[in-house]
Amino acid sequence: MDLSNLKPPAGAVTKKKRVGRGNSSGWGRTAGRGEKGAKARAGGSKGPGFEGGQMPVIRRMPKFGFKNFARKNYAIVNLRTLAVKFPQGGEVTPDLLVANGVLNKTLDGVKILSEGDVTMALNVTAHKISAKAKEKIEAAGGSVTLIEVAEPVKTKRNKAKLNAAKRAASATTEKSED
Amino acid sequence: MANIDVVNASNEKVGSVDLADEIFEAEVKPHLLWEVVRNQMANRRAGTKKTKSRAEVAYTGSKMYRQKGTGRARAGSRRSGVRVGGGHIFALAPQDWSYKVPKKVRKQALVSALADRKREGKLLVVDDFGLTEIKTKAMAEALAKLGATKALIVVGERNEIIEKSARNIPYVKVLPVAGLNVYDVLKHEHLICTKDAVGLIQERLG
Repeated sequence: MDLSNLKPPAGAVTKKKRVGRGNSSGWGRTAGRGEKGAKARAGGSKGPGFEGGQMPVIRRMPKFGFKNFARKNYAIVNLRTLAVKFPQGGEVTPDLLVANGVLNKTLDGVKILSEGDVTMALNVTAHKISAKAKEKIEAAGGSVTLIEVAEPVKTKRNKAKLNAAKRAASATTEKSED
Repeated sequence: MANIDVVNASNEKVGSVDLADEIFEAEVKPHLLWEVVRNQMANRRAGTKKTKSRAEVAYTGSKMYRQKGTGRARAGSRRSGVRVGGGHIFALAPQDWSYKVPKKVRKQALVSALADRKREGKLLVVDDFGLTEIKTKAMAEALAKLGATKALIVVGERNEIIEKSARNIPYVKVLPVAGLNVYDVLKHEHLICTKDAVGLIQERLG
Protein backbone atom coordinates (compact mmCIF):
# COMPACT_ATOMS: atom_id res chain seq x y z
CA MET A 1 0.00 0.00 0.00
CA ASP A 2 1.14 3.49 -0.68
CA LEU A 3 -0.51 6.80 -1.41
CA SER A 4 -1.03 5.91 -5.07
CA ASN A 5 -3.35 2.97 -4.50
CA LEU A 6 -5.60 4.23 -1.75
CA LYS A 7 -9.20 4.07 -2.71
CA PRO A 8 -12.52 4.39 -0.93
CA PRO A 9 -14.49 1.23 -0.22
CA ALA A 10 -17.36 0.58 -2.59
CA GLY A 11 -20.35 2.72 -1.72
CA ALA A 12 -18.51 5.16 0.53
CA VAL A 13 -18.50 7.99 -1.96
CA THR A 14 -21.53 9.13 -3.88
CA LYS A 15 -21.17 11.44 -6.80
CA LYS A 16 -22.75 14.83 -6.35
CA LYS A 17 -25.87 15.40 -8.42
CA ARG A 18 -25.28 18.43 -10.65
CA VAL A 19 -28.64 19.84 -11.61
CA GLY A 20 -29.39 22.33 -14.34
CA ARG A 21 -26.36 21.45 -16.48
CA GLY A 22 -28.16 20.67 -19.72
CA ASN A 23 -30.97 18.40 -20.83
CA SER A 24 -28.77 15.44 -21.66
CA SER A 25 -27.82 15.13 -18.01
CA GLY A 26 -31.38 14.17 -17.10
CA TRP A 27 -31.47 17.02 -14.57
CA GLY A 28 -31.73 19.89 -17.03
CA ARG A 29 -34.71 22.18 -17.72
CA THR A 30 -36.56 22.31 -14.37
CA ALA A 31 -33.66 20.70 -12.50
CA GLY A 32 -35.81 18.25 -10.57
CA ARG A 33 -38.10 20.92 -9.10
CA GLY A 34 -41.31 20.12 -10.96
CA GLU A 35 -42.64 22.98 -13.05
CA LYS A 36 -41.96 26.70 -12.95
CA GLY A 37 -43.45 28.92 -10.24
CA ALA A 38 -42.89 30.04 -6.66
CA LYS A 39 -42.23 26.51 -5.45
CA ALA A 40 -39.44 26.09 -8.01
CA ARG A 41 -37.49 29.04 -6.60
CA ALA A 42 -35.02 29.16 -3.76
CA GLY A 43 -36.93 29.69 -0.51
CA GLY A 44 -40.16 28.85 -2.28
CA SER A 45 -41.83 26.79 0.39
CA LYS A 46 -44.38 27.68 3.03
CA GLY A 47 -43.41 27.43 6.66
CA PRO A 48 -44.82 25.04 9.21
CA GLY A 49 -48.30 26.01 10.35
CA PHE A 50 -49.19 27.65 7.06
CA GLU A 51 -52.80 26.93 6.22
CA GLY A 52 -53.14 28.21 2.69
CA GLY A 53 -53.51 31.85 3.65
CA GLN A 54 -56.28 31.35 6.23
CA MET A 55 -55.37 32.67 9.70
CA PRO A 56 -53.53 29.64 11.09
CA VAL A 57 -54.27 28.08 14.47
CA ILE A 58 -50.99 29.21 15.96
CA ARG A 59 -51.98 32.85 15.35
CA ARG A 60 -55.72 32.48 15.95
CA MET A 61 -55.19 31.36 19.55
CA PRO A 62 -53.88 33.69 22.24
CA LYS A 63 -50.56 32.92 23.85
CA PHE A 64 -50.72 31.29 27.25
CA GLY A 65 -48.47 29.83 29.88
CA PHE A 66 -44.81 30.50 30.51
CA LYS A 67 -41.54 28.64 30.76
CA ASN A 68 -39.83 28.62 34.11
CA PHE A 69 -36.17 29.22 33.38
CA ALA A 70 -35.20 28.60 36.97
CA ARG A 71 -36.77 25.16 36.95
CA LYS A 72 -34.54 22.42 38.24
CA ASN A 73 -34.71 18.96 36.79
CA TYR A 74 -33.92 16.15 39.16
CA ALA A 75 -32.81 12.68 38.27
CA ILE A 76 -35.24 10.41 40.08
CA VAL A 77 -34.15 7.29 41.92
CA ASN A 78 -36.59 5.06 43.81
CA LEU A 79 -35.77 2.98 46.85
CA ARG A 80 -36.64 -0.11 44.83
CA THR A 81 -33.68 0.58 42.56
CA LEU A 82 -31.34 1.26 45.47
CA ALA A 83 -32.35 -2.07 47.04
CA VAL A 84 -31.35 -3.90 43.85
CA LYS A 85 -28.18 -1.97 43.12
CA PHE A 86 -26.82 -1.73 46.66
CA PRO A 87 -27.73 -5.07 48.26
CA GLN A 88 -24.84 -4.74 50.71
CA GLY A 89 -25.96 -1.32 51.90
CA GLY A 90 -23.29 1.30 52.41
CA GLU A 91 -22.63 4.63 50.71
CA VAL A 92 -24.92 5.96 48.01
CA THR A 93 -23.84 9.14 46.27
CA PRO A 94 -24.77 10.74 42.95
CA ASP A 95 -21.38 9.76 41.53
CA LEU A 96 -21.86 6.16 42.62
CA LEU A 97 -25.31 6.07 41.06
CA VAL A 98 -23.82 7.10 37.76
CA ALA A 99 -20.95 4.64 38.12
CA ASN A 100 -23.39 1.80 38.82
CA GLY A 101 -25.45 2.60 35.78
CA VAL A 102 -28.53 3.68 37.72
CA LEU A 103 -28.41 7.11 36.16
CA ASN A 104 -26.93 8.39 32.94
CA LYS A 105 -26.45 11.86 34.33
CA THR A 106 -27.48 13.66 37.47
CA LEU A 107 -29.16 16.62 35.71
CA ASP A 108 -29.49 19.46 38.23
CA GLY A 109 -29.53 17.06 41.15
CA VAL A 110 -30.59 13.65 42.37
CA LYS A 111 -33.84 13.10 44.19
CA ILE A 112 -34.63 9.91 46.10
CA LEU A 113 -38.29 8.79 46.09
CA SER A 114 -39.94 6.19 48.24
CA GLU A 115 -41.33 3.54 45.90
CA GLY A 116 -40.23 0.11 47.03
CA ASP A 117 -38.57 -0.87 50.30
CA VAL A 118 -35.06 -1.07 51.65
CA THR A 119 -33.89 -3.54 54.26
CA MET A 120 -30.18 -2.71 54.23
CA ALA A 121 -28.55 0.27 55.91
CA LEU A 122 -27.85 2.90 53.26
CA ASN A 123 -25.92 6.11 53.83
CA VAL A 124 -27.56 8.17 51.15
CA THR A 125 -26.18 11.45 49.89
CA ALA A 126 -28.53 13.25 47.52
CA HIS A 127 -29.78 16.70 46.61
CA LYS A 128 -33.37 16.00 47.56
CA ILE A 129 -35.30 13.24 49.24
CA SER A 130 -38.97 12.68 49.86
CA ALA A 131 -40.11 12.56 53.49
CA LYS A 132 -41.35 9.01 53.14
CA ALA A 133 -38.12 7.80 51.55
CA LYS A 134 -36.13 9.39 54.36
CA GLU A 135 -38.36 7.65 56.90
CA LYS A 136 -37.86 4.27 55.25
CA ILE A 137 -34.08 4.63 54.96
CA GLU A 138 -33.73 5.67 58.57
CA ALA A 139 -36.07 2.87 59.69
CA ALA A 140 -33.71 0.42 57.96
CA GLY A 141 -30.79 1.84 59.93
CA GLY A 142 -29.40 4.13 57.29
CA SER A 143 -28.77 7.84 57.19
CA VAL A 144 -29.49 10.71 54.83
CA THR A 145 -27.24 13.63 53.92
CA LEU A 146 -28.47 16.43 51.73
CA ILE A 147 -26.21 18.34 49.38
CA GLU A 148 -26.98 21.78 48.09
CA VAL A 149 -28.28 22.06 44.56
CA ALA A 150 -25.99 24.07 42.31
CA GLU A 151 -27.54 27.13 40.69
CA PRO A 152 -28.27 26.31 37.06
CA VAL A 153 -26.26 28.24 34.52
CA LYS A 154 -28.88 30.11 32.54
CA THR A 155 -28.10 33.75 32.06
CA LYS A 156 -25.19 35.09 30.09
CA ARG A 157 -23.94 37.10 33.04
CA ASN A 158 -24.03 34.06 35.29
CA LYS A 159 -22.12 32.00 32.74
CA ALA A 160 -19.36 34.58 32.39
CA LYS A 161 -19.00 34.76 36.15
CA LEU A 162 -18.74 30.98 36.49
CA ASN A 163 -16.20 30.75 33.70
CA ALA A 164 -14.10 33.45 35.33
CA ALA A 165 -14.18 31.58 38.61
CA LYS A 166 -13.18 28.37 36.88
CA ARG A 167 -10.29 30.09 35.14
CA ALA A 168 -9.09 31.62 38.37
CA ALA A 169 -9.23 28.22 40.05
CA SER A 170 -7.26 26.49 37.31
CA ALA A 171 -4.71 29.32 37.26
CA THR A 172 -3.99 28.90 40.93
CA THR A 173 -3.66 25.12 40.66
CA GLU A 174 -1.22 25.51 37.78
CA LYS A 175 0.83 27.89 39.82
CA SER A 176 0.92 25.56 42.77
CA GLU A 177 2.14 22.76 40.51
CA ASP A 178 5.05 24.93 39.44
CA MET B 1 5.21 -12.63 19.34
CA ALA B 2 7.04 -12.26 16.11
CA ASN B 3 10.68 -11.41 16.07
CA ILE B 4 12.47 -8.98 13.86
CA ASP B 5 16.19 -8.55 13.41
CA VAL B 6 17.82 -5.46 14.74
CA VAL B 7 20.56 -4.27 12.42
CA ASN B 8 23.24 -1.65 12.65
CA ALA B 9 24.10 1.06 10.16
CA SER B 10 25.97 -1.39 7.91
CA ASN B 11 22.97 -3.73 7.79
CA GLU B 12 24.57 -6.37 10.02
CA LYS B 13 22.40 -8.22 12.47
CA VAL B 14 23.14 -7.22 16.02
CA GLY B 15 20.13 -8.64 17.84
CA SER B 16 16.40 -9.01 17.66
CA VAL B 17 13.32 -7.42 19.12
CA ASP B 18 9.82 -8.68 19.79
CA LEU B 19 6.96 -7.24 17.78
CA ALA B 20 3.44 -7.28 19.15
CA ASP B 21 1.23 -9.41 16.91
CA GLU B 22 -1.84 -7.25 17.49
CA ILE B 23 -0.01 -4.38 15.80
CA PHE B 24 2.45 -5.74 13.30
CA GLU B 25 0.49 -8.85 12.32
CA ALA B 26 -2.86 -7.09 12.28
CA GLU B 27 -5.16 -7.28 9.28
CA VAL B 28 -4.46 -4.48 6.81
CA LYS B 29 -7.64 -2.52 6.23
CA PRO B 30 -7.21 -0.38 3.11
CA HIS B 31 -10.47 1.49 3.63
CA LEU B 32 -9.24 2.84 6.98
CA LEU B 33 -6.00 3.99 5.38
CA TRP B 34 -8.00 5.82 2.75
CA GLU B 35 -10.29 7.38 5.33
CA VAL B 36 -7.51 8.68 7.55
CA VAL B 37 -5.26 9.91 4.74
CA ARG B 38 -8.21 11.74 3.23
CA ASN B 39 -8.81 13.34 6.60
CA GLN B 40 -5.16 14.31 6.98
CA MET B 41 -5.16 15.94 3.56
CA ALA B 42 -8.35 17.83 4.36
CA ASN B 43 -7.10 18.95 7.76
CA ARG B 44 -4.00 20.52 6.33
CA ARG B 45 -5.86 22.64 3.81
CA ALA B 46 -5.34 26.24 4.78
CA GLY B 47 -8.74 27.32 3.52
CA THR B 48 -7.43 30.83 3.01
CA LYS B 49 -9.16 32.16 -0.02
CA LYS B 50 -11.48 35.06 -0.34
CA THR B 51 -13.11 37.14 -3.01
CA LYS B 52 -15.65 39.90 -2.65
CA SER B 53 -19.34 39.36 -3.14
CA ARG B 54 -21.61 42.14 -4.35
CA ALA B 55 -22.23 43.08 -0.73
CA GLU B 56 -18.55 43.71 -0.11
CA VAL B 57 -17.36 45.51 -3.25
CA ALA B 58 -16.66 49.15 -2.50
CA TYR B 59 -19.13 50.99 -4.70
CA THR B 60 -22.10 53.11 -3.91
CA GLY B 61 -25.37 51.36 -3.29
CA SER B 62 -27.35 53.89 -5.24
CA LYS B 63 -29.03 53.20 -8.54
CA MET B 64 -26.67 53.97 -11.45
CA TYR B 65 -29.18 55.87 -13.55
CA ARG B 66 -32.92 56.22 -13.59
CA GLN B 67 -35.15 53.27 -14.41
CA LYS B 68 -36.80 54.75 -17.51
CA GLY B 69 -36.01 57.11 -20.31
CA THR B 70 -32.28 56.72 -20.79
CA GLY B 71 -32.54 54.18 -23.58
CA ARG B 72 -30.17 51.93 -21.70
CA ALA B 73 -30.82 48.59 -20.06
CA ARG B 74 -32.36 48.65 -16.61
CA ALA B 75 -29.65 48.68 -13.97
CA GLY B 76 -29.99 48.55 -10.22
CA SER B 77 -26.50 48.31 -8.89
CA ARG B 78 -22.97 49.09 -9.94
CA ARG B 79 -21.84 46.18 -7.75
CA SER B 80 -23.81 43.50 -9.55
CA GLY B 81 -21.94 40.39 -10.59
CA VAL B 82 -22.77 40.93 -14.26
CA ARG B 83 -20.91 44.29 -14.43
CA VAL B 84 -17.21 44.84 -14.92
CA GLY B 85 -15.74 45.55 -11.50
CA GLY B 86 -18.73 44.06 -9.77
CA GLY B 87 -18.66 41.40 -7.07
CA HIS B 88 -18.27 37.70 -7.67
CA ILE B 89 -21.50 35.79 -8.02
CA PHE B 90 -20.50 32.96 -5.69
CA ALA B 91 -17.73 34.69 -3.77
CA LEU B 92 -15.10 32.53 -2.13
CA ALA B 93 -14.87 32.71 1.63
CA PRO B 94 -12.28 31.42 4.08
CA GLN B 95 -13.26 27.93 5.06
CA ASP B 96 -12.17 25.38 7.60
CA TRP B 97 -11.92 22.04 5.82
CA SER B 98 -10.88 20.01 8.84
CA TYR B 99 -13.08 17.30 10.21
CA LYS B 100 -12.67 14.56 12.75
CA VAL B 101 -12.23 10.86 12.29
CA PRO B 102 -13.10 8.66 15.28
CA LYS B 103 -10.10 7.94 17.53
CA LYS B 104 -10.52 4.20 17.15
CA VAL B 105 -10.45 4.52 13.37
CA ARG B 106 -7.31 6.66 13.51
CA LYS B 107 -5.62 4.12 15.74
CA GLN B 108 -6.65 1.14 13.65
CA ALA B 109 -5.49 2.89 10.49
CA LEU B 110 -2.05 3.46 11.95
CA VAL B 111 -1.92 -0.17 13.05
CA SER B 112 -2.90 -1.18 9.51
CA ALA B 113 -0.20 0.97 7.98
CA LEU B 114 2.48 -0.45 10.27
CA ALA B 115 1.27 -4.01 9.65
CA ASP B 116 1.39 -3.40 5.93
CA ARG B 117 5.03 -2.33 6.07
CA LYS B 118 5.85 -5.37 8.17
CA ARG B 119 4.03 -7.72 5.81
CA GLU B 120 5.85 -6.39 2.79
CA GLY B 121 9.17 -6.74 4.57
CA LYS B 122 9.70 -3.01 4.46
CA LEU B 123 9.97 -2.54 8.18
CA LEU B 124 13.53 -2.25 9.44
CA VAL B 125 14.68 -1.93 13.01
CA VAL B 126 17.98 -0.20 13.55
CA ASP B 127 19.77 -0.03 16.85
CA ASP B 128 21.95 2.91 16.00
CA PHE B 129 22.90 4.86 12.91
CA GLY B 130 26.41 5.16 14.26
CA LEU B 131 26.34 8.92 14.01
CA THR B 132 28.37 10.91 16.45
CA GLU B 133 27.96 14.22 14.69
CA ILE B 134 25.57 15.77 12.21
CA LYS B 135 26.72 14.27 8.91
CA THR B 136 24.41 13.89 5.94
CA LYS B 137 26.90 11.79 3.99
CA ALA B 138 27.12 9.17 6.74
CA MET B 139 23.34 9.02 6.97
CA ALA B 140 22.96 8.65 3.21
CA GLU B 141 25.48 5.81 3.18
CA ALA B 142 23.73 4.06 6.03
CA LEU B 143 20.38 4.28 4.23
CA ALA B 144 21.95 2.96 1.02
CA LYS B 145 23.39 -0.03 2.89
CA LEU B 146 20.03 -0.70 4.48
CA GLY B 147 18.50 -0.64 1.01
CA ALA B 148 16.00 1.98 2.09
CA THR B 149 16.64 5.25 0.33
CA LYS B 150 13.04 6.39 0.51
CA ALA B 151 12.32 5.95 4.15
CA LEU B 152 10.49 7.25 7.14
CA ILE B 153 12.80 7.09 10.13
CA VAL B 154 10.98 6.83 13.44
CA VAL B 155 12.96 7.68 16.54
CA GLY B 156 11.85 7.31 20.12
CA GLU B 157 12.68 10.81 21.20
CA ARG B 158 13.60 13.76 19.01
CA ASN B 159 17.23 13.43 18.09
CA GLU B 160 19.02 16.41 16.61
CA ILE B 161 21.85 14.42 15.07
CA ILE B 162 19.55 12.07 13.16
CA GLU B 163 17.11 14.81 12.20
CA LYS B 164 19.71 17.17 10.82
CA SER B 165 21.71 14.41 9.15
CA ALA B 166 18.62 13.25 7.28
CA ARG B 167 16.78 16.43 6.53
CA ASN B 168 18.59 17.25 3.30
CA ILE B 169 18.20 13.77 1.87
CA PRO B 170 15.32 13.64 -0.60
CA TYR B 171 12.43 11.26 0.17
CA VAL B 172 13.57 10.77 3.75
CA LYS B 173 11.79 12.06 6.80
CA VAL B 174 12.46 11.73 10.50
CA LEU B 175 9.63 11.62 13.02
CA PRO B 176 9.46 10.94 16.74
CA VAL B 177 6.96 8.28 17.79
CA ALA B 178 4.55 10.98 18.94
CA GLY B 179 4.41 12.30 15.37
CA LEU B 180 3.97 8.92 13.67
CA ASN B 181 1.01 9.09 11.32
CA VAL B 182 -0.64 7.15 8.54
CA TYR B 183 0.15 9.59 5.74
CA ASP B 184 3.89 9.64 6.33
CA VAL B 185 4.08 5.87 6.74
CA LEU B 186 2.37 5.37 3.40
CA LYS B 187 4.29 8.13 1.67
CA HIS B 188 7.69 6.56 2.30
CA GLU B 189 8.50 3.17 0.88
CA HIS B 190 10.41 1.89 3.89
CA LEU B 191 9.79 2.33 7.58
CA ILE B 192 12.91 2.41 9.70
CA CYS B 193 12.40 2.34 13.45
CA THR B 194 15.02 2.69 16.09
CA LYS B 195 14.91 0.03 18.77
CA ASP B 196 13.42 2.29 21.44
CA ALA B 197 10.86 3.57 18.94
CA VAL B 198 9.49 0.04 18.51
CA GLY B 199 8.80 -0.14 22.23
CA LEU B 200 7.17 3.26 22.29
CA ILE B 201 5.01 2.47 19.25
CA GLN B 202 3.73 -0.65 20.97
CA GLU B 203 3.08 1.36 24.09
CA ARG B 204 1.16 3.96 22.13
CA LEU B 205 -0.92 1.51 20.13
CA GLY B 206 -1.00 -1.48 22.47
